[in-house]
Amino acid sequence: MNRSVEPSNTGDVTTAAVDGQALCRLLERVQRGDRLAADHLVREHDSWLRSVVLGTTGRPDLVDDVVQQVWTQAWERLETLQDAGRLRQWLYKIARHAAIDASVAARRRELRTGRLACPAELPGSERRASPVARTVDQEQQEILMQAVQALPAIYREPFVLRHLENWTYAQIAEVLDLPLETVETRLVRARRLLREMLSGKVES
Amino acid sequence: MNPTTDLERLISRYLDREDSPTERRALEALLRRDPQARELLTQTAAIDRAVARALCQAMGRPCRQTARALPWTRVGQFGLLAAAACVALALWVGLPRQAVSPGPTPSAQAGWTSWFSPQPSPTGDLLRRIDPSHERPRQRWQTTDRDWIIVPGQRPGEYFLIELDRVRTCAVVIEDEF
Repeated sequence: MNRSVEPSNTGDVTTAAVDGQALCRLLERVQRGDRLAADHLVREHDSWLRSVVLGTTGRPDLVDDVVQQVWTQAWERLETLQDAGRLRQWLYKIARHAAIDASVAARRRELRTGRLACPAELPGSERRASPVARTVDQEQQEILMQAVQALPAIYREPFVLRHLENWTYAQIAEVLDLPLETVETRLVRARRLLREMLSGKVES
Repeated sequence: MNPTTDLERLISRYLDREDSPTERRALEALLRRDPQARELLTQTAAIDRAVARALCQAMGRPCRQTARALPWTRVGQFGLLAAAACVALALWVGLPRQAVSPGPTPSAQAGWTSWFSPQPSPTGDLLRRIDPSHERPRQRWQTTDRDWIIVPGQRPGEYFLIELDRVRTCAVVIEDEF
């Protein structure tokens, strides 16, 4: 088996399938300060780490800052990674802890100062839409994101990874270090809760 | 085990494309006989799509819709294709027969430019086809709402009725034993 560790967008993310030796070499290059290798690593893992942070916090406004912290911590602790094959699980743990810390800190800060309204980012096509259509879209977006935020984090995490990264149950289970059945049960419960919260608010 | 949980699990696996062929068949069988199951799948799929779109939008990512089509939507698509094929076949089979029939005039055929455009009404041609040997004087029958022009048909006892109302001349009926 001699697969490369080129960044892929195909959803083929099972670390077990990636050649451990190639990954080790890549990590060694990163540790030696090879910027190209570091760039390679970030490109491959940044997207799903963002989804993990969103899944853990439920807050898109925290994602950029937290992911930056995650990468900083990852560079600092790279020597502590024992098994290159478990890179994803290792990054996931760093991201999850950083996201929880950031979430708690943000909540404390907002208790003191209040939360600033953060308008949802609109893609180009919707920027051109009429003000009424934009208002309706924004309202709908807020309702949906509030429902996602109201989900318990343990259900939100697999749900976000499934929907943003299009990961299979096996991939989610591998990174979250959970049995396959647990991932499935959490997705079923996430859907049930969302249905209860959004029933009548989303057109079938 | 709770049947609702089983159904929810089947639906969840279906939407995530994690279902086996056996589970797929079980779900489809259930959907055929249980309207509540259909409703649950429709609702869950709609919420899934909407939330996925909202998540992509919140993260500033292009939304690639990976949602799976509902089973009956696919059946509907095949049904539409089958219906279109039937119509095309009917046109294919029906058209040459009209071409050899003595009725249609060149003008009626000339106006028919596409296989998919509606066939022009042959009213005028039918009037011309009436054998003059059976022709009798036309009668006009006036009621409060509309007029009827009654033209005797090709055979005795057969009449051709033209209904006239204030704005258009439309219905054409052939009546025996009028």
